[in-house]
Amino acid sequence: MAKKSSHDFSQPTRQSYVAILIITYNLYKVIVRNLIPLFIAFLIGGSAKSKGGYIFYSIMVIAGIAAIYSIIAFFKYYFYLKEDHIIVNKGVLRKTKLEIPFERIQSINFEQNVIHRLFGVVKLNMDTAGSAKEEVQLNALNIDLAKRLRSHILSNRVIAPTNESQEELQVEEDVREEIFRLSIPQLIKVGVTANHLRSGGLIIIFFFYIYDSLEDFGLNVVEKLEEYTPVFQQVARSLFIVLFLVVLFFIVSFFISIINTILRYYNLRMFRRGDGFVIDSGLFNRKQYAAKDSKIQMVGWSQNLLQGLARIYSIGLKQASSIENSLKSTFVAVGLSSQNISKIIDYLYGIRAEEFQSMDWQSVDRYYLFRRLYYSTVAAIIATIIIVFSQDWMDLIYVLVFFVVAVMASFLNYKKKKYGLSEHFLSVKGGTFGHSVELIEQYKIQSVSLTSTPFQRRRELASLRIMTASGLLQIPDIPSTIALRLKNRLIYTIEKSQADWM
Amino acid sequence: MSFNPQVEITELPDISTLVYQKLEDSYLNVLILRRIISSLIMVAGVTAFYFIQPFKWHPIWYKLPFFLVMLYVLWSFIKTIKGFQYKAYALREKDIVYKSGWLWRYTITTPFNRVQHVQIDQGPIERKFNLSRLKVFTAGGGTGDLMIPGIRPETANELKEFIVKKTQHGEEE
Repeated sequence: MAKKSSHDFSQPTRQSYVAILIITYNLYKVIVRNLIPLFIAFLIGGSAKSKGGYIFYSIMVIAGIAAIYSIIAFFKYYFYLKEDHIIVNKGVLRKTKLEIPFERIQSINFEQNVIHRLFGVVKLNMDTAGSAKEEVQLNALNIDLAKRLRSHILSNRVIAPTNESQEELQVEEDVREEIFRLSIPQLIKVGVTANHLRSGGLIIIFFFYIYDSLEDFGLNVVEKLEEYTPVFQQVARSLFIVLFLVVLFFIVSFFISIINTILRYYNLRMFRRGDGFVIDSGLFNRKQYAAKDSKIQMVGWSQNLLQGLARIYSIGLKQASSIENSLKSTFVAVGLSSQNISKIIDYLYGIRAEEFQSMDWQSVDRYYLFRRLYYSTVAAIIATIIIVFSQDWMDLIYVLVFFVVAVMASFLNYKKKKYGLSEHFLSVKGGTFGHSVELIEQYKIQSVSLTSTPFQRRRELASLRIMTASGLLQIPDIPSTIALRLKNRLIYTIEKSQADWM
Repeated sequence: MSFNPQVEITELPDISTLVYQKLEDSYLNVLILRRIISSLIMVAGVTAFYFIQPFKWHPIWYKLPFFLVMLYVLWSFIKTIKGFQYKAYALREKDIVYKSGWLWRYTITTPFNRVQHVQIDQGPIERKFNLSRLKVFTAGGGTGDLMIPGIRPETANELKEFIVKKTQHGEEE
C-alpha cells in the first residue's frame, strides 16, 4: 500500500487545473439555461434588433464575471485528509470548512463528461449518509489520484480492520470481476423497450417549462392561444386528427427514449469488486458508481410490458439515503437477463440467496382488487355525468377506453401483488403490465407500522408499512391477524439481530 | 399459514396484548385549540371569498365552498375529540409503540436498536399546558419517525433517557 501512496493526502491538495474549465463550463450552462426564455421573449417581442448591441455587451460582462469567479473558486478549494477525516475548504464569498469522517461516506463515484475525458480527469462525488449540505464534490481530479483517494478512504473506513479484511481491501483496488456488459444489440433492446410514456412526459414538461418562462417575461400565452381556440375545438372533435397526434406523440417519445438510453447506458458494465459493486456507463458523460454490500439496503428488479417480451430486467441496488438525495443513491443497471439478476443476488447474499427460490408467496386479499375497481367505476360515473350535462357524446369513447384499461390494470395488479417471507428475507412482488420485485433482508428494516381503515376492519384486514433506510415497502390488504403476526415476526428479527444494518 | 419454521410465531411478543399508556388529558385542549385556530383561518378565508366574489360566478358557487368548509370544520372537531381517545403509547424492553386514529388506525413500532436520535419538542400552545412531545428518529425517513405528543416534559425526559440508554446498551453488546 505504501509504495502506491506517492501523493501525500495529508497535505492540502487542489483539484486538477482542468477544474477551472469545468467550473466555468457549468456556470455558463446554468446562465444559458436561464437566459433561453429571455431570448425567446426578445425574439417574439421583436425588440432584438434595437437592443442587440446592449444584449451582446451584457453577455460578455456576465461571461467575464463567471470566468473570474471560477478561477477564484478553484484557488479557494482544497482538501486534505487528517486521520480518518476528509477536510474540504471552499467558498468564494463565504468560507466553508467541511469535515467528514470516512465512515459517513457511503460511496465514492466517478463521472466523466467530454471535457473530463479529453484531459484524463474525473469528477468525484462522495455520498454521505447525512444531509445534502455535506456532499463533497471534486470537479476535476487526475484519474490515478482519484482512484488512490477512493481506495484510501474506503479502506480506512473500517475502524478496526482484521488482517483478513485488510487483505481483501488491498485486492479490491485492482481485481474486479465483470458481472455484466451491455452489448450494442442489448442497448437497442433497452432503448426500444424503455418507458416511452415517461419520455412523452418529458415533452409535456418541456412545453410547460417554455410556457411558464414566457409568462414570466410578460407574454400572455393564453391570450395568443385563445385566438386558435376554434381550431383546437375542431381538432378535438376529429377522432382522426386526435389519433394522428397520439401516434406522432408516441413516435417522438420513442426516439427521445432511444437517444436517452444510448446517452445514459452506452457500454454499461457492472463489476464485482471486493465486497461491493461498481458500474459505469454513458456515451459522452461516463458515470461510475460504486456501492458496498453493507450499504445496500434493498434490491429491486423490474420489467415493463415490453421488457417482459424482450426478457430483460433492470435492477436497482438501493443504498441508505437521506431525504434530500433519495434519487441519487439508487444504483441502476439495465438490460439484464434473469441469470444476471440471480448472479447479482448470489454475490450480494451468498448462500442465503437460495431462500428466494423457495419463498412461500402469499396473495393479498380480494378487497385490494375491489378497491381499485371501485375507484375506477366512481371516476367513470362522474365523467359520464359530466358528459351527459355537456352533451359531448364523443367523449364517451375516452371514458370507455379509460374504464376498460383501468379494470384490466386492476385485475393484473391484483394478480401480481404478492409478498413472501423466508428465514432472512422479506419480499414484495407487484406490477401492472410489467413485473417488479423488492427484496430486503429483515434485519435492515427500520420500523414497522400497521394501518387499517374502517372498510378494512369490516373485512378484518390491515396493511403493513415497512420503513427501510432506502424507502418504504407496503403490504396492503392482508388479514389483520396475519399482518399482526408478520409485524411481530419482523420486529422480533430486528431486535434479535446484532448485525449492523449499515 | 406458515411463515417460518424456525421461530414459533405464537411465542413472539405480541403487540395486540400490550397495555397502552394514554396521553395527558390536557393534550385534548391543545388539539382543540389548534383546531379552533386552523378553523378560524379557513372560515375567515371562505367568508372573505364569499363577500369579495372575485369571479363572475353564479351566487350558488360562492355558497357551496362555505358549506363545505363548515361541514369539514364540524367533522374535524368530531375527529379530533374521538381521535384523542385512541392516541396511546407503550414502552417495551426492546421497542416503543405508538398508536393513533379513530377511523384510520395506525400503530408504529420502532425497535431501540434502530433509533438514530431522540428529540423533545414543545410548541407555544403546548408550553401553556406544560406538555412536550417526543420524537424518535430512525433512518427510515419521514414516514418512519415515531412521535408521542401530549406527555409531561418530565415523562418525555425519562422516556428519552430510557431510549438513549437502551440504544447505547445495544451497541455495547
